[in-house]
Amino acid sequence: MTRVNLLLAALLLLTATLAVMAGARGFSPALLADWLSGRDPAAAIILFDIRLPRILAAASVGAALGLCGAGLQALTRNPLAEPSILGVSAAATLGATLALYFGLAAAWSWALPLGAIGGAGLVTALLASAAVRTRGMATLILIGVGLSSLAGAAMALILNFAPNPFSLSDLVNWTLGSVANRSLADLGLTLPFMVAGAAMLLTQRRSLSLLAIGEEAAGAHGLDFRRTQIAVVVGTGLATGASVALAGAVGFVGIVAPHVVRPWVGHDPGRTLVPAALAGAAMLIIADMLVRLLPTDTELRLGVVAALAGAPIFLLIALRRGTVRHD
Amino acid sequence: MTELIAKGLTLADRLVDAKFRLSPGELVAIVGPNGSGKSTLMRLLAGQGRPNKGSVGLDGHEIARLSPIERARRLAYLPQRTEVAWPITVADMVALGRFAFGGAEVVRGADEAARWLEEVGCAALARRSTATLSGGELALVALARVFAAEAPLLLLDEPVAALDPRRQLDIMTRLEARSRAGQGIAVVLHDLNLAAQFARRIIWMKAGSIVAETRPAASAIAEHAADVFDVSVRVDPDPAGGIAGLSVRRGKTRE
Repeated sequence: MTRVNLLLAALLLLTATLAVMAGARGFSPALLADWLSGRDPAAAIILFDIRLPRILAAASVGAALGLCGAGLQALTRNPLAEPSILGVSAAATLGATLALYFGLAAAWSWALPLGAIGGAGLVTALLASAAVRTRGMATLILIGVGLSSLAGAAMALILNFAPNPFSLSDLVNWTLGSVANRSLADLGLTLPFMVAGAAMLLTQRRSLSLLAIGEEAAGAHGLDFRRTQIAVVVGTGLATGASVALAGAVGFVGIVAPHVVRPWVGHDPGRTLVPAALAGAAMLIIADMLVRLLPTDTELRLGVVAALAGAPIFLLIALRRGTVRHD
Repeated sequence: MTELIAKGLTLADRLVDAKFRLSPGELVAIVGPNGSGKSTLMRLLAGQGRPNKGSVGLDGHEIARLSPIERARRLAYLPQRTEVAWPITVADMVALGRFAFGGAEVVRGADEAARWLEEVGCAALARRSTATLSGGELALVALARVFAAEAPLLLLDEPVAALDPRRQLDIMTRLEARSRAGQGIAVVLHDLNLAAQFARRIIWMKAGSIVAETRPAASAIAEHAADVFDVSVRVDPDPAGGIAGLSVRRGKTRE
């Protein structure tokens, strides 16, 4: 297990190093050399004010989403559960958009992250209460789809009433998801929430492993299901909300990252958490690198790339699952 | 000495005023028709869910007051339905039975799983994925997981229902050995033969109530089987004094 984590951490470091070297004109270590030798003062600015915050943002958002996906999947015992599938991301986006729309975000810098976290928390709590009452996981996913549509409809309403084309494009850009032009200050505002959420999820590692045998049997072996459920739900709300506040809506990382690492940890849901976070971070760094390297006129959005790559994988998992078992 | 004592257990229309006691070193069978409240009784005894009325005392504590960990260290419960959400290995699943004793125990449990798998005759399955097991094998692995908890008291809800006749006898023999070694075991059975051969006490349930509690004696079995299941039972006595076997037919016992 630790070997998997070490391997993934090394991979993460490698992708981050590549991403530091990636610029508008392809990969080049020249900038790094310039900075190290101190020849070009602009090199430090490009590296530390532009590229590094962006890479850190992609990594922390990827890690948060990977971890939340793994946590929600373990809690619901369903490999298709994920913040964006279940409507958590949509609600966070709605919360953030509301803060933008009413000008709260401009007046108070905490309004946007708190709006996003509030939206995410509300939906996760609704989902958790539904999860207690319904046995079937299909129902839970349908409820998530319903909540997602509701949040989408509210978003459409806001776009409908956008006062002018500029604020409309602002709002739309927000929903596409991006880590471009993020500052270390933006990161400082949201990272504490991600760390708090991640810490809550990680305390439940062993309990989530036990939950593999179902709620009743796990309870008989000493699981405090309520506590686990609350920790995972609140942790997911915090971390997803904060990552939406930082990068907008970025989907499918939470489903693909756990899916990729699961076979390496013997499918143990608790042991999936940390590798899923590391893999999620590496995946978003790579996706953001693609965004920067692809020669498009208008910059591609990270959320768009993640969805284009992630949605087919989601479908693949759903189809494969369908052939094995129907429950 | 860990002891489980329940009084006046009542839950909606599923269980009425049930009284139950389980002490170390005894093997108790609970029998009764489908829907007679056996599983409800087991679940409440295991502290899963709250009764409308009545109390369950474990070791002198009200069971609802004990933390899940404290309860799990004294009492292991095997639900009727075995679930595994992920294709984890058999050894990992058995090791989950060590949860109440801490993370290090779960890790060690995966290496020692063979010990408990041996007891249920499934040592060869240790490295297999639980997704590839048959229904009976999965039931045996779940039983090994409950054994792994090494709790002084065991509540088993139909542990042998999915097993072949030989495996049923093997498991009942294991349970008997474990009860001799000091564990208190209550087991829900549908096979009167097994109950008669292995249990020290038989608890008869009907329509949500415990209607009788008997020794596994020929006359008592014939009488209560007729009352509870509406079947006639002929008991073949064992020359050694026990019961060699039963034959069960439709209709009341005539004799």
